[in-house]
Amino acid sequence: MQAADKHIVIGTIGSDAHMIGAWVLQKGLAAAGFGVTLLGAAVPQEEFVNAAIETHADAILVSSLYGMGILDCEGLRDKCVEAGLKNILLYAGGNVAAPLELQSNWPEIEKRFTEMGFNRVYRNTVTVNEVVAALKSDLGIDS
Amino acid sequence: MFTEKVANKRLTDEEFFRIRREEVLSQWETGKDIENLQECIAAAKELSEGKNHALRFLEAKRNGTFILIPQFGRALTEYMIEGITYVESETGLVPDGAWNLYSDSYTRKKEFRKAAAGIERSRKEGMSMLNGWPIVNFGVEEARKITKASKLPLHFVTCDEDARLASEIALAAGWTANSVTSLQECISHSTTITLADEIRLMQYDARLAARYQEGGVPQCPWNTSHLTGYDSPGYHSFVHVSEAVLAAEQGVKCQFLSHGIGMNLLQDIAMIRVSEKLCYEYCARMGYEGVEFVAGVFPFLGAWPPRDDESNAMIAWNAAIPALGGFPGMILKCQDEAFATPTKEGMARSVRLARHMLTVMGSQRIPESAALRQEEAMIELEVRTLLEKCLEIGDGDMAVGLCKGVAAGWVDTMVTPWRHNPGKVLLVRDAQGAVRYLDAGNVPLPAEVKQYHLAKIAERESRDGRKANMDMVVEDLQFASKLP
Amino acid sequence: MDVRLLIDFGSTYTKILAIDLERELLLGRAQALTTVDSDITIGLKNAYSTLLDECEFQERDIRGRYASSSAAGGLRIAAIGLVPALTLEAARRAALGAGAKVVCAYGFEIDETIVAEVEAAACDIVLLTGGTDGGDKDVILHNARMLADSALACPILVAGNRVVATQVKEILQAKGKSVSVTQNVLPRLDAVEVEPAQALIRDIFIARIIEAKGLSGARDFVGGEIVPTPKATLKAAALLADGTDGEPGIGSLVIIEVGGATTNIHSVCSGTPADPLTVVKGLPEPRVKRTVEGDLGIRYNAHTIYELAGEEPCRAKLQAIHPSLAQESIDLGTHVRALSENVGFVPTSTLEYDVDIMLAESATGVAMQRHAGTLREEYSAVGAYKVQYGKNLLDVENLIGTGGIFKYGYRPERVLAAAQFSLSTPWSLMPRVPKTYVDSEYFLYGIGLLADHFPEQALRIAKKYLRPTQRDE
Repeated sequence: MQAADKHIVIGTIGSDAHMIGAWVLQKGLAAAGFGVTLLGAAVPQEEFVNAAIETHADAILVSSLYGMGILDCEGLRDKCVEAGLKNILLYAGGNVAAPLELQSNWPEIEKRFTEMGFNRVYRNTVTVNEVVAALKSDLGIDS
Repeated sequence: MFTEKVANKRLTDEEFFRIRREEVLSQWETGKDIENLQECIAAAKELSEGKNHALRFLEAKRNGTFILIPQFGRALTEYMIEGITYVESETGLVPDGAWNLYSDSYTRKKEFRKAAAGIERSRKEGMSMLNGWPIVNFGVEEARKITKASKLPLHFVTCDEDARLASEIALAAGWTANSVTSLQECISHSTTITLADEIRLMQYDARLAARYQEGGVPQCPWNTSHLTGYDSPGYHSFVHVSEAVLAAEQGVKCQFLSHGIGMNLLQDIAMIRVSEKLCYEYCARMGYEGVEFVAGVFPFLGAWPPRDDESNAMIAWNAAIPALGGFPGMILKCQDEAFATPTKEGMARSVRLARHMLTVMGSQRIPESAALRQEEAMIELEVRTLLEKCLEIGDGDMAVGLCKGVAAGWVDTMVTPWRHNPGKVLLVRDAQGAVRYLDAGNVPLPAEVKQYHLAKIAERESRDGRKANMDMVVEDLQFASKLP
Repeated sequence: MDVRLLIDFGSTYTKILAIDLERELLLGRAQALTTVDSDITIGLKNAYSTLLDECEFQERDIRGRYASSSAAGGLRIAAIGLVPALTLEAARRAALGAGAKVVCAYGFEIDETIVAEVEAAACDIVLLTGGTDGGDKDVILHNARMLADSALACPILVAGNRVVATQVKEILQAKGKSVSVTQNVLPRLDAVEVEPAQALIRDIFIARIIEAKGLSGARDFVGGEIVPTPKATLKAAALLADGTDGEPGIGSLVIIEVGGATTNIHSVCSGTPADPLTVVKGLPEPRVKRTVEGDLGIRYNAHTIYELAGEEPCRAKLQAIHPSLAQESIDLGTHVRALSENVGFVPTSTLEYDVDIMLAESATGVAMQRHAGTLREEYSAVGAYKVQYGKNLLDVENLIGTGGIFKYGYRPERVLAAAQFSLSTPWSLMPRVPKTYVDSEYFLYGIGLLADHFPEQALRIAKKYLRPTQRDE
């Protein structure tokens, strides 16, 4: 299996207009050989799911930089299941939670995202290479 | 919304008033208070007496002085007046200042019902629950209260796709500058609108400003290239010149060129000089007589450091660039902005900081040098190539050429949420921190310019001992925001 | 005189209301035990002759007869979907809005155990959903195969992923099941479309279930279709709230129906947040909404209510209603258990009445908290913001009590107060300051029966006979 056979949908979720995280991922994943669809900023959950259906995506990468990530990501897995994407990978990253106690308590945030059906969640310090490595391992790509 | 094709052509009176009636004033109930345009112009003339944006800015340009421009926006009129009068009286901003006043996010998206709820909540909770002043909900009479409370020229920031009603209200209240852009708005804040539609919306705003000008109230719309914060200087200048031509066609006689900068002194100054020069040249060439331009600097639009001390360094350096370049307009950012919307105290601190920068820098200006001349020449070559290609492909029509350029992929920048942007371009900083094309995508860079950029990148590569690549691009995005 | 008879075949009683459409008057009422096990028309004729004896009109004055039925268990539907919050929720809404009782509901892949439960549930229709159009196919196909192999004989209504609808139909038909296919209840992730499924449920009810439940004799007497009773109440609710072109309605409303086995809530209002800055989560809420709480009835489920609300709070509530409680010898727990076992129990003493009121109050509180949406505050980098789940009823203008407990006309204000906003549950978006009414004549179902034929008269009669109550301060 090769990266070129895999397609990834990327965007910034909710009412968040920040572009940087999604843009960097798009460039990095494309350079690593993945097929990438960039949905831009302020993308609703439905649009992620619909784009994933259209592009036959293997993963949805959600960027959130304004601190409302948990709320914005809640329910995305359910929608994927209903839309026939039961096994699609879901990653989230950025400033995914705002309340200080949550931001300083990373295991709790990871737990919340796991409960919401996300496969991985990253802080805003994550590098493209880490994400590429995780995707390759989760998708069974030989590197 | 639109079906017909776009063209760089002045709106006829018939078109203007049809759009005004059908599409603009009907957007919200406060539109009916400004139905009579003649009355609005007469009122604006009286209200803006002694604090006209165009006149003040041209005067500063002639005299080689600077105008400090703090920015402010709060949910309620009383908070606006409180903030404006506080800064004006506490910092000596009068007379060499102006205001950049902005609306809240809901108003920018024309969600006036939500803005109304924000006003209610602000009243109930006794604090500003909106991130700007909802000008459309308040309407012209409230806007006039703000005009009367300030001793300075007021500019209304319209960072929105359709700000036509907001512009109408601001100008009718005697604020003497709206924003007239095109590509800027798409790149900065839009996701799906087409450039043709955006141009058409902006043509109305430009024509509106021109009507006030023709009615005896000089106007100085802001022609901006704030963009994403990660754009090439050539792209900035290209945006300015193309917007200048489109606004001039509608009859605009004076424009303020608000440049987003990369914070490389030499390159930023070269860029602004090129913009100003080519704005004059292209307007004259296309037959727009007597259009004036005043240049200015908008604070860095990329990521800022999340701490006061580092933010203050940024604010100071952002003030130093227009001071050394001799560009009259200095828009000020406030250290609060890393965490929240600016407070009046924060804004006052920024004004004092910038003012003191001007005091200690005195009349120092950047010396002319071969390096500066070369930088100017390279940017000018890039921008001319783009402009000529636009006019050629648009058959002399800048609007058509611009739209075709985006569609064909040779008008391009990076990190924008706008779906229609081709997104092939990659930029890195060179050894001096100037912004260079690592990958120009389909931008028609002349070979000479391309070589120059690659040579500059090579200097950084040899200094750092590594090849420029995507990692370097990503690092550079955060070059000003990382804390040690 | 233009007399119309409005008949309801209830599980216990067959009721007839007579109204004069000309003068817009309630002429009288009569009831007799429902006789669905032998011949439904026996009870009907008993009630009918009582009515004719007691009222001052002649048989020849009767111009029309309309009927609803919840006899023989009402319309019982098993709902099957994929994700509980998505297609299964949409399937539940479709069933409830069609006036059905959702006897069981399952998400994801069903197995033999679940199939056995569905078989045992004695349902009239299985509503099979799953997947958005173009979405998941596997689960609905799996569930169709499981149902095909079951012993179920009732009609199966398919309203799932359009892409595999034909395949699902074929799987079921191959094993001799009766199958109808309609549009997906959740065609897109942000669109609930229950109307086509509801229209088909109504058709199946008319075509098959009336026959199966021994109601055909009744249909011949009525001379027209019979609708499920809850559907009639829902129609009355919508008419009363929205009005007609010529006659204004009373505005947004909530109807509380506390019964022996269930507590039903009907709401007609937009349900959008009071503050548009609020973030709304979940499927879009329907304007006309019905929920049925099968665990909250003041007879069959008296004990469940007692346990849900808690022994101490129940005692405290009863103490407030019945100040002399301390002097009386009653073991509340025993009494409540006895009620569950003796569902025909009719209170005689003040204390027994007050226990019923306490149970109704508790059931109403819980049912309304489940029906109404919730609001909570969250914090982000850009400040505090509010999140709403479900339907906002804060600004609902009218609150109406109907059924069993309200017929006594005894302390209805206490029961209705339990359905209103309270500082002890500030997150629950229940009506803040509604006008309160009691349907003491128990005629709302009849208004719904008339609504299709004579909406303006029906509405005026409803407005005339709803009895306003004092607020319980």
